[in-house]
Amino acid sequence: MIDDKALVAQVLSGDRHAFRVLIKQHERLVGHMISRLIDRHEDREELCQDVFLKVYEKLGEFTFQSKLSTWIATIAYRHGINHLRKRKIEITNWPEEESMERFVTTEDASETLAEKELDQLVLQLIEKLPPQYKAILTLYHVQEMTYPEIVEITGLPEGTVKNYLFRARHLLKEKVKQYLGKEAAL
Amino acid sequence: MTDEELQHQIEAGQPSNQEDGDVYQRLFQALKQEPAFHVSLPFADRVLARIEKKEEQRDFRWLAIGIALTVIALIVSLILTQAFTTGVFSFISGYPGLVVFGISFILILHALDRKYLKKYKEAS
Repeated sequence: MIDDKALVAQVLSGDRHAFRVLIKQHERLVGHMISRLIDRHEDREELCQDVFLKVYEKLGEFTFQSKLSTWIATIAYRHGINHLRKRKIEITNWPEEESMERFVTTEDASETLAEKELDQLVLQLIEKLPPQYKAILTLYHVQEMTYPEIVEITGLPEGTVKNYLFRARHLLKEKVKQYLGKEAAL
Repeated sequence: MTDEELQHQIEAGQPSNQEDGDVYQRLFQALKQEPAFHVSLPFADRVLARIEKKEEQRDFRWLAIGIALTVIALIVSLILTQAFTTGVFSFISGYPGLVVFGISFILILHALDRKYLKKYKEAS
């Protein structure tokens, strides 16, 4: 696999194939970030494209102070947040208890609890979290990034990142526990 | 043990005999799932097509700026050399208001066309 420095050098020399490789390598990361930040399905694909257009335009400014993936994730995160701000969507408001409750109470309790169902439940609960919490959960658990990397991407202090992560996981745990308790009672 | 400490303990792979520890273990496993969204198959092609289009537009913009500068330079040189007094220019120089109106009208028409055409494109 081609390393980041060589790949960036090739893209900067005008090699379109190299940029295609760069897109392929990072499209999942960008897709995860944007899909966790943006609820409107129809906006996601175009926003992902916008992110790579920005990457292409700014690649000459990338100085390898961080990993290429961290830099691209930073662009994706900021682009997503700016999009939400333009639409005046709150990015850190904690969800209403009822909206989280809905998934737990309306589940068909007659079904046995398979891992897949729990996975599905967790995905649905994550969707109800504020965008910044969702982004941090994704970076930490799906992308397996470190705290300093998440700090760089989000621009939030490390304490805030840790606090958001703790609060989100605590809330999800309570909901999952509630769901598991309901299953066991049947 | 606080809930935060329990989270750290489970993350570190240490077993816990608390009920919440088990729930956290299952939760952390579930959190590793990727979001359901995936970009479309021709995603890279679409990005590259947009880059090419943008570069073409940039080239066109430079061409337009070049033409505009050439026209300005021509007008300035015509004024400086007083060439407006000969041939067809002597006719035009008699109606400066008409010339200004004609140029302004074309520019406004072009600007309106771009504005409404863009809105129409976005709407469709």
